[in-house]
Amino acid sequence: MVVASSLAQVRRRGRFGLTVQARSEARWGYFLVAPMMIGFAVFSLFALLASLVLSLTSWDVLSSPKWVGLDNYARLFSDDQFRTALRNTALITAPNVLFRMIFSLGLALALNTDIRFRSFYRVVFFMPVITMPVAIATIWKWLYDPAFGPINAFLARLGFPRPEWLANPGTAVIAVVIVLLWSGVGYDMIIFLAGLQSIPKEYYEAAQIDGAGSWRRFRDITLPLLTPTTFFLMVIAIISSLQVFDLVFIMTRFGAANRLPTVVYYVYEEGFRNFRMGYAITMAWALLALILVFTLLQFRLQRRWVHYA
Amino acid sequence: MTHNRSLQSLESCIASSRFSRRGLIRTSAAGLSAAMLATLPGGRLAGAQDTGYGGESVTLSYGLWDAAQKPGIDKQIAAFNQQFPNIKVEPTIVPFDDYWTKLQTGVAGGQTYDVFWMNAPNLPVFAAQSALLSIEPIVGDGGADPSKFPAALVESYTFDGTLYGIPRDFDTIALFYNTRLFDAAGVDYPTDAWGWEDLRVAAEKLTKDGGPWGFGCLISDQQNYFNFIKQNEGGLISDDFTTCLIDEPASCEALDYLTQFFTAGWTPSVSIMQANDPEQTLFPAGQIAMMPSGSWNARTFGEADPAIKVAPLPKGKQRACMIHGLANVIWAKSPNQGAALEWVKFLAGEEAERILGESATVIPAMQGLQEDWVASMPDLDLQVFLDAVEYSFPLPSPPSGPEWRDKIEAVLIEGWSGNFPAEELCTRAAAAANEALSS
Repeated sequence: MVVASSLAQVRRRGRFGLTVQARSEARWGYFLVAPMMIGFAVFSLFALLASLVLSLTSWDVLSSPKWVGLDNYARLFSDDQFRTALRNTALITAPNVLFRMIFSLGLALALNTDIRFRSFYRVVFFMPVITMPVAIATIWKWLYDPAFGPINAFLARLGFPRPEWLANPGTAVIAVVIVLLWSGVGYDMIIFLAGLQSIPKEYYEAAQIDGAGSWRRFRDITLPLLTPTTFFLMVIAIISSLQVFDLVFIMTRFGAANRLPTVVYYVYEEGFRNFRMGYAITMAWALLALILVFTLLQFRLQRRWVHYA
Repeated sequence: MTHNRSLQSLESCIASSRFSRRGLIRTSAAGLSAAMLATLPGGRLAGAQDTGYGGESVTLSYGLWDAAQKPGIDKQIAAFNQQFPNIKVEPTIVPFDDYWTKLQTGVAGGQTYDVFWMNAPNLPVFAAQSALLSIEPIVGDGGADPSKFPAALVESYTFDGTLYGIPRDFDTIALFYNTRLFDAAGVDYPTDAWGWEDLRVAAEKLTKDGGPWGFGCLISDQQNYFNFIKQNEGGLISDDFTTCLIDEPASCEALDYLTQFFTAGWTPSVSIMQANDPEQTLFPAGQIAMMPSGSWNARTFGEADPAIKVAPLPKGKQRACMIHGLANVIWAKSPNQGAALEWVKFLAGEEAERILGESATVIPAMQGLQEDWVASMPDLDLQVFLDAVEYSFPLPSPPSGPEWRDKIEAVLIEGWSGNFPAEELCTRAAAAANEALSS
C-alpha cells in the first residue's frame, strides 16, 4: 500500500525540484553517512575548533587555560628552538622527497621488465612499508650503533672512521633520511608501477617504428605520462616528510636532549613533556599552514609540468 | 656495630640541619612540620582511622615505573589482601620516561591510577593542581606514623602544610665497580679513602681503546653530576628556587672534572651511551669498570655479574651524595578513595615496608628496616648506601617542577658530545635552567 502510493507520487516534484523518490534517497543517504559524519564532527571537527581556541591560551593541562591572545603566535617568530625544528624538518624533507622520487621510479622501471623473481623483489621492496615504524627505528638505531653496530664495523673494516651517526645533527640527518627512504620507497614504487602499466603499449610501438631509441621513448613517453603519478607522490611525500616524528623520536632522542628535533617532535615535547599545551597547539597550526602553503603551491605549479593524457 | 651506626646516622641526618636544609625551605622549620604531623587539625589524632571504606568489592589501579620491583609489590598485595580480601590491587608499570606524560595527561583527562608512585621533584607540580588527596585521615594511632620516616623525605611530600604521601623507600648513590676488569688491569679496588684523583687515575688505567672503559659518566644528575658538584661544595639552585647556581666556580669545577673523562675517552662517549644504556647494558655487561649509580640498581647489577661490587663515592672537598625517596600518593578524584586510603596506610606500615626490604630492590624508608635490605644481598656491601645517608643532600624540588634539570641535562649532552667549547658548559647550563625556572 505504502509502496504503491509512493510510486504514484514519483513524478510529483517536491522542494528543490527533487522527485519524492530522489528526496527519499537523499534522506537515506544522509542517514547512512550520519555515523561517519557524527564521528567526524565530535572527534575531529570539534577537536579542531577547540584546538584553535586553545592556541590562544596558556594551558598546562592540569589547571584551566588562561587567555593570552596572540602571544603564542608571536612567540613562534622569536623561538630559536622552533626555528631549529623547522630547519631540521626542511633538511630531512628536501633530500627525502628528491631521492624517494628517483629511487622509486628507478625501482619501478627495473621491476617493470621481465626479470626473474620479479614478484619476489616487489615483495622485498614493499616489506618495509608495512613494517611498524617503531620496529624499523629500533632496528636501525642498533645498526647505527657507533661502537657495536654492524654499519660501523663494516666501515672500520674498510678503513673508514666510525661516525657517531645519531649523536650530531649533521650525520643524524643522513641517517634518518636513509631510513625514511628505505621505508618509503616501496610504496612509491608500487604506485609508479601502476602508472607505468597504464601507459598504452601502442605508444611505444609507434615510437619504435618512428625510430625512437630507448632513451627517447623514456623521455618523451614514459616521463610525461608518469607526471600525474609523480605529482600525486610528491604531494604525499612532502606532507609526510613535514610531519616526520616517530623515527626521530626513537632514533635521535637521548635523555632530555634530541639531536635532531623536528617540528612535530617539538610539538610533542612542549605539549606532553613540558605541558605547555597552548604553545604546542599553536605550533601544530603553524605546521598545518606550512603544509597548506606547500600543497597549494604545488597545485599551482602543476599546470606547468603535469601532463594529463 | 655498623648496623647501629647506620641507624644513628639516619637519625642524625634527620636532625641535622645540613641534610634537611633545602628540603625545609618551603615551611619555616623542621620542628614546625613535625609538630603539624603529630597534631593534625580536627582532632583526628586518636582513632583517626575512618577511611570511609566499608568492605565493598573494589579494584584499585596502582601506577609505578620500576619493573624490577614487581615481585615485591605482588607480595605486598598478597599481604594486604589477607586483611582486605575485597580490594583488588592491579599494578600498572609504565617506564619512567613515559610515566609522567601518561600520568599528567591521565589526570587532565579524568582517568588515572587510584594510587601511584610520586617523586619529590614532581610532588609540587601535582599538589599545586589539587590532583592529590591528603592522606591526613590515615595518620595517627594505629595508622601511618610519619615520625618513623626520615623527616626530610616526609617534608618533600608536604605541600602548603598538607601531607600527601608517606615515603616508601629512599635511595643514595655509591660507586659500583667490576672486580674482573680491575684484576685484568692490575688496579686496586676503590676504597672509602678514594678521592677524585684516585678515580681519575684508575679510570685512565682501566680504559682500553674501543672499550671497556674505566668510568661510566652517566647522563644523570641524581646518579652522577649533582653528587660531584656537592662534593666540591658547589651550588645547584638558590634557596628560594629562583636561580640555578650551577655556574658557581665550584660547580663549574666539578663539571670540568667530569668533562675530562669524555675528552680523554675514559668513559663511553655520549653517542655510545645514547645507543647503549650504561645502566641496562654497558655496565652489567662488563664494558664499564666503575660507575656511580643508585641503590635501586644494586640488585640488577649484583644479579648480572657476581664480579660487581660497591664502594662509597670518592671524596671531593667533602663527602656528598644525593638522597631521594618515593612515596605512594592518591589521586584526588579517585572513585575508590576509601580503599585507596586503606592501601596507602598498609604500604606505610611495618609489614609492607618489611616486605619491601626483603625483596632486595630499594631501601625501605621506615626506620629500623634497612637491615633487611642490607642482608638481602650478602655479596654486596650495601652498608655503604646507608652510611651515605649521613652525608647526603636531598634532590632540590622547586615548585615549577623538574624541567630545569631537563634543561641542564640537555646542555650537558651537547657539551659532552663536544658540540660547543667545554668552558661554556656551566654558563650555558645555568642559563637554560634559569629560563625554565622563570617561565
